[in-house]
Amino acid sequence: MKSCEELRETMLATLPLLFVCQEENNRLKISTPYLYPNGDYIDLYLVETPNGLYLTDLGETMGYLADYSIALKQSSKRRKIVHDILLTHNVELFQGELRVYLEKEEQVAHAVVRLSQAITQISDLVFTLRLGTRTTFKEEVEEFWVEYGIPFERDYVVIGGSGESYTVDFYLSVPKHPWLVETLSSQSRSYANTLVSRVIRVWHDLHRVDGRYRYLSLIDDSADVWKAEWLDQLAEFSEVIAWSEREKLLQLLKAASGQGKASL
Amino acid sequence: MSRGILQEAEAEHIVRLPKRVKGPNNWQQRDDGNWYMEMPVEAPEQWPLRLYGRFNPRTGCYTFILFCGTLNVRRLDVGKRHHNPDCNDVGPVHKHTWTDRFGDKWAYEPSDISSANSIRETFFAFLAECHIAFEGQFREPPQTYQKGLL
Repeated sequence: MKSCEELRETMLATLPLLFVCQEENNRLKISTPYLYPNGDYIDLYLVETPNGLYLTDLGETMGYLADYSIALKQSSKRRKIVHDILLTHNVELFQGELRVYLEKEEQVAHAVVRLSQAITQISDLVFTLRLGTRTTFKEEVEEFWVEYGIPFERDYVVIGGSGESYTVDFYLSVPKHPWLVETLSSQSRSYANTLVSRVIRVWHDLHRVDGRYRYLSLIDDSADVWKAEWLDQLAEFSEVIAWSEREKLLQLLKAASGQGKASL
Repeated sequence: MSRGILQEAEAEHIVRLPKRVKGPNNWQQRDDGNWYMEMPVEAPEQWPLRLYGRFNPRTGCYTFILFCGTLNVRRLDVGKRHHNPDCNDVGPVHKHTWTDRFGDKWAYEPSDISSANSIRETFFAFLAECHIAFEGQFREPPQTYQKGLL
């Protein structure tokens, strides 16, 4: 293993390579290794005026927040957070730009780090949007298996009677007969129709192979998009359970495994 | 769109739907100095779709997004490099595509457009990929920064 001294040499030689500078429109563009939350790189610009130098993002951070419908003037809480971040790093918000004013050229490196850190912290406001904490229906179902100790495999590949392979959402390792589970979730009736057709086709093709599995269609009924006749069609090939009635799911799995407790 | 979040298959389904927007696309400058446009997107299915654009006259960077609700179904960025979660970098013209695993963090470099293309060309290439027909007049964003002295 390298000594601390050697690692230090390597690190100090490598770090500056992560910052790329190029002259652009009479200013210096500094490409940093720091990222906005969606993975886009943070670029900074060093601008020289008769009054001195300043480092700026040229309004990209506020634009990034706007892409996620975040407007500071609409939320005093977010304004307060941003104000606190600006205070910490001595950064100014001027006409939509985040700026650091420099008294001496030697301050540039320090300013690049301060401004980059302020930008990453401010752009992290997108994580305060509600969607950041939401999960897909499939993930919610996965959490259910974990919570009730039901052994499962996600994205299980199985071959149908036609020879075509399908990736089914879940394989449940239940004694006697394992289960294959497909989750169906949509906010749109037409897409729900597409989903039902696809799942029926999968179940139909798998039915033609053998009787190794039992089949379960789990319906996200948080939106009223499912027609009764579609569910009837699904029921010809699988058990159909609405997510709002998932206690039935536990009973079904318990009965299938011949055990009297939730954990299978 | 389940539980408020988009699934990858739904996003692809939305992209493939034949859609349209009616021009002109008017640009408005906000307090942050960037120019913005937003247009409702008509589709044969009930999805909350809109087309969004942002142009930063100070950097020349611009972004077009097909939104479903508040989520990016497709996003085009011009002028900014991108870093993918697998540590591969993509160039200054890239498109974000919605994935179950990474949300909007995954981007790829399109083969049909480059930095050399005009905003108009890029805009229509983006619309073509998203299967959106544009009716009416296309307006370029103003190139000027009008927020006073820098």
